[in-house]
Amino acid sequence: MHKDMTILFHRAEDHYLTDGEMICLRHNAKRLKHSLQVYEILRDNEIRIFQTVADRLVDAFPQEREKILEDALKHWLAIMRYCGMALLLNSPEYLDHHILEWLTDQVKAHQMQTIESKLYKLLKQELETFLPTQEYDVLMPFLEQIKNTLFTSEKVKELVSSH
Amino acid sequence: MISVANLVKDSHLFGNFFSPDAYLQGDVETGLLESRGGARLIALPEALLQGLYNGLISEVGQAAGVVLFKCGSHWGKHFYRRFGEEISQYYQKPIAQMEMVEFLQCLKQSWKTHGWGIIDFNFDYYQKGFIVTQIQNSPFDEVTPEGDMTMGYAEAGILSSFFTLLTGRNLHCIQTTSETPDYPWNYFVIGLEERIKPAEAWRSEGQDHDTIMERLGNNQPSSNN
Repeated sequence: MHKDMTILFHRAEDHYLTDGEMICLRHNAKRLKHSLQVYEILRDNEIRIFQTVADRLVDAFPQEREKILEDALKHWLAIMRYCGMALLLNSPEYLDHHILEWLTDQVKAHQMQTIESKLYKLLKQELETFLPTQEYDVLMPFLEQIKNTLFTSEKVKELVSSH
Repeated sequence: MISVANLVKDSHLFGNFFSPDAYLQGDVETGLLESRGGARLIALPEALLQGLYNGLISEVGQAAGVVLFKCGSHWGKHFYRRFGEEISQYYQKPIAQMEMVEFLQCLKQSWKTHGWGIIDFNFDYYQKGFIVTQIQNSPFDEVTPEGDMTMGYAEAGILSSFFTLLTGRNLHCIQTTSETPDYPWNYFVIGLEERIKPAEAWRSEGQDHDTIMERLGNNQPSSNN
């Protein structure tokens, strides 16, 4: 749930919402409407977006076992589903608790950071071309959060940042 | 070629089963707090935990450590069973088929969501037969009175029985050091009892965790594993 909206829900203990609080509520309602549109685009185009990413990933790692690439793709399919929900809830914590914390060690342990960081870059490029600018901008903070959480080592950060 | 349509169709895309907002469920009307797997949970007030520790120490003194270890060990057996049931059901595979890193991540998340602090594992000494565990923000450590009783006996107990059931070998667990402002973790070593036993004496001598681990490593030639 939107954090500032949750705070507003407790205001009934004390008063009807003030005009200032109503502006905040309206702003969040407007934001939710926009987030729903982005969410629907992500949902309806999940396979299309990821198929392009998968094809490019195979091109980038032709020697890699298919199972490894599939595992990485499954991670990111899940990440994007949770990312979409975090977007609706406007909750970075949701994204952290439900998927990122759980995946970070696994990505590190399997030394999949090179593949996953490439996948992140390909996905980001795909989303950038696929989503209208305004929609992409709404998603951007969550993509940054994913990058900063999953790719913690300096070396991998360089890989992700380089173009 | 990889078919994303098949990936989406064939596999369940898993996340963190123990995410606190999903894991902690409850029914206010019936007064039940439950895990999402249906196991009953209770919130233990800090004062009650403190009372249990103080009462135990005043009744049995130094033996309180042994009692707490036994309590932890008993609890660990039940925790292992419930934990195993919950994760194998959710992730749709038996524990034995789970990768170690995935299993440990579940354990870490479960530990945290239950409010027992942050737990982590180190396998640097695994080849020598030891697993090192570190815990931060332990509620048990916080309620233990200062002095000789600064050890997380209950946690050592839970870890010993948990890893005994996991590995099928009779393992023991000893705390090597307590959390201090300079050293913000409680460290534990898990291994066969006769092999980790010397750690207790070294701890009493005031040796730090790294020294104890080095000595344990040297003390146990790998050919004896």
